[in-house]
Amino acid sequence: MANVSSLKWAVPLTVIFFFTQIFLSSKLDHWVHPEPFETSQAGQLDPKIVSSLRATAFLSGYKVLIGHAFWIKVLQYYGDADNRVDHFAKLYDYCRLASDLNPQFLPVYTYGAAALAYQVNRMDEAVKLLQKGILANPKANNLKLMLAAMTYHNTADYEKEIPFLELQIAQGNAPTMLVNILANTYEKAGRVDDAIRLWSWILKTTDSDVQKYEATLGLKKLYAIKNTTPSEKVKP
Amino acid sequence: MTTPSNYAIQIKDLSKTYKTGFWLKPKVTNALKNFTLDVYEKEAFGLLGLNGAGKTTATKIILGFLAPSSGSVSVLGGKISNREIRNQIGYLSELPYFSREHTGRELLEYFGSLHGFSGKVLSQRVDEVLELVRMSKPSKDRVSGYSKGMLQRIGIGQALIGKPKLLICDEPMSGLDPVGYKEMRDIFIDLKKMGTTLLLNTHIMDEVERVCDRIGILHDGHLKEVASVPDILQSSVNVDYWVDVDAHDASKLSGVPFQKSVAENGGVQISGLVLPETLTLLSQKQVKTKGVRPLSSVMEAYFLKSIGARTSTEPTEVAK
Amino acid sequence: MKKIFHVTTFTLRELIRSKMLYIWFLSAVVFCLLSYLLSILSFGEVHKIFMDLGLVGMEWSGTLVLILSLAVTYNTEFEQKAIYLQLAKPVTRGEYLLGRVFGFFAVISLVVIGMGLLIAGLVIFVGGGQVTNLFIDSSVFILIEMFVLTTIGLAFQMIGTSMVGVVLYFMFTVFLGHCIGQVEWLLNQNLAPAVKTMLRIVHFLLPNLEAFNLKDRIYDPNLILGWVQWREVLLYGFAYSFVVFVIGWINLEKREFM
Repeated sequence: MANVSSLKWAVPLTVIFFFTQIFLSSKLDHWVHPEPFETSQAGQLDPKIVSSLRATAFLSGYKVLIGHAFWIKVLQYYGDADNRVDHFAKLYDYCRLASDLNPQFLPVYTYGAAALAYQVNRMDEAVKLLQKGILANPKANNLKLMLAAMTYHNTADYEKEIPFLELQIAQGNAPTMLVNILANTYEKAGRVDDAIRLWSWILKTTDSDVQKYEATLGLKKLYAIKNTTPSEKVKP
Repeated sequence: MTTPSNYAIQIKDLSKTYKTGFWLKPKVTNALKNFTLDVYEKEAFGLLGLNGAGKTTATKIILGFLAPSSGSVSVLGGKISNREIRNQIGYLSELPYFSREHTGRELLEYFGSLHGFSGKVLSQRVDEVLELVRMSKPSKDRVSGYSKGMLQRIGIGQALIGKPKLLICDEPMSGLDPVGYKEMRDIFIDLKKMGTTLLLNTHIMDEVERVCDRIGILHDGHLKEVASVPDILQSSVNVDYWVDVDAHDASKLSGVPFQKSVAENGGVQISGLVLPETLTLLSQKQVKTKGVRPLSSVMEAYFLKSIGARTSTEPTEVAK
Repeated sequence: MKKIFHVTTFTLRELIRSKMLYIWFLSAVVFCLLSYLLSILSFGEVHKIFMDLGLVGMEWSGTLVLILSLAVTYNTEFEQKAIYLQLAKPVTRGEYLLGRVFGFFAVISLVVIGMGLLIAGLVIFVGGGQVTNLFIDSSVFILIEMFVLTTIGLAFQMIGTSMVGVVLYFMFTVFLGHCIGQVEWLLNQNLAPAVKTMLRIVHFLLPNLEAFNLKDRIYDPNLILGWVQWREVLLYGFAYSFVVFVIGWINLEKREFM
């Protein structure tokens, strides 16, 4: 039962809309995906895995979701003690890929740069990562603060580095590693009391056993420097 | 007698061919061949046929579910694609299926709303139809809990909700128990009295005899015969009769032509005579009869004879 | 119009009562758990994780509801032939199809909006953040995408001859619809002309679901979403849906119910 009469008006409109959607599809593509499909290199990571992951992320339309899942993989890599043997050689490549997948996820840059700069002493990679982060997130002031702090750390200008670290921690959402780094920087700058105060605060507030251990070690070392015993209370 | 211009359905040289199987070498099935039929307004027309004869195909073409390969169909003076024509038609499919998640009332309200009813008018109409099909009480229950008979009643209800001028039913008695069967038959008779045209696809001869004015017999895609039911019932189609007589009277009928078998308790099967001739025979032999009943219906015998099937009235050896 | 409305409400009631909304509940539980887990493991930006995963959850739960609805209604309407009694009524096949589209979309909208409200609640009360305007915009884009997918799914229902076929073709189209965005990149590569022509045809025919994908860019500071972009996205969604709807309608008109 073809009700042709009611379709007569629909068919020419269909042709018009068909070409309209072709035109708009291409235009919207450029708007939704301004960046190219291929971005940075695989580095030390397996290129097949990198390209497969990137292809899956782009083709599935769930780039950010895959980015979040991959970030956990990065954290697992950094948390695996076996990788200390090669000084976390792939850490920068992991962080770079994670930032390709999820460019607006700031912990990739803050945590990654902090680990690269302060734990494995690869300042140049940390700076490159932060610069990439600032480009993708121009309003993320904490990345700029971190970059400034690292620049001063590089030149051992700890007094200038400290305010940037303090400001970033005060803004919130800073990785806990950064608090440890500030405590160590206080120590390097000779501000032992500030270091003791910060380690004590960490010891009091943290739930992480690793951080408690590091805080305890830090306090022992600082009290030894001050030639005092840990029983002396220092108000935070 | 209706005049030829008052046709409810006019079918001219309708043919339907199906192609199935591999597209390069399709199997061609001719479901209908040059099918021509006129159904008058206000009559009840029964379409009889074996399974696969083409009854449902014909019904679907009338309703627009299938396109004919050739020929034309006119329903209530117009084309079935016309919405106003469909507004005057009620249809009940074979073994109707409904969304299991609705109640009977909600279904009828939905179908009524498609007919343009709304508000209080719709509500009243739904109540009337539920009362008519004896589904008032279970109407608030979900269809998933309905029996086959209840589904059939809701089915006929949705067919009647729009107060149709033409009611087309495909096997309307399927799944009904004897009480439901009688009630459905009464509904059809009432509808006929109210002037509704009925087109019934059915196998049930009793239904045809009691409800229909005319029948059409479809066999292998061809319309073999169209005849009026009274004419068929009065025709010379022979059926076997069972006559209950006293045991000593049974012997009076032994050796009589047309006597097919005798039972020990005094029953005699008479074959090959119509009823008046059977009664005449019994009277001639001065046999006191306790009862006479047909062993098959006239309609069934007529139908089987039309399609060339073997009937029980074929002559057998006369019992000695 | 009234008949379209009646078919819509009938479809909506049918789908809600067939417990499609349980999918919303299940999706909500799964995504809340995943978001919470990820937020713990990711060291920060909890509200961002909730929003990112929430948008994915909205899209997946909407698509899942659509796929299940297509499967269930195909069985009821075409295999059990419930459609016969409806099409015998004074309702055109176009009205019936449009009513079904709106009915399906109404159920999917309930699921998607419900998820969106839950995510917004989580972001505000658990994540301690704010729901950004781009999150709301992205949610609306997901709704537009769901409308396009609904028309595609129902068009497949009108064309398909089996429930499995309808579902498979639909899922394949959804997958390819997200890949379409990269066809232009492929076209710039060194490929044979015949392959490029085929890719162009595919690009024209399949829905570009990436046009509605703001999930990856809700924090992108370079994203411009003004009236022009809104107009183009809405027009694209409407144009594609219209074309697909008419194809489905033509198939329904010509379909023979044996």
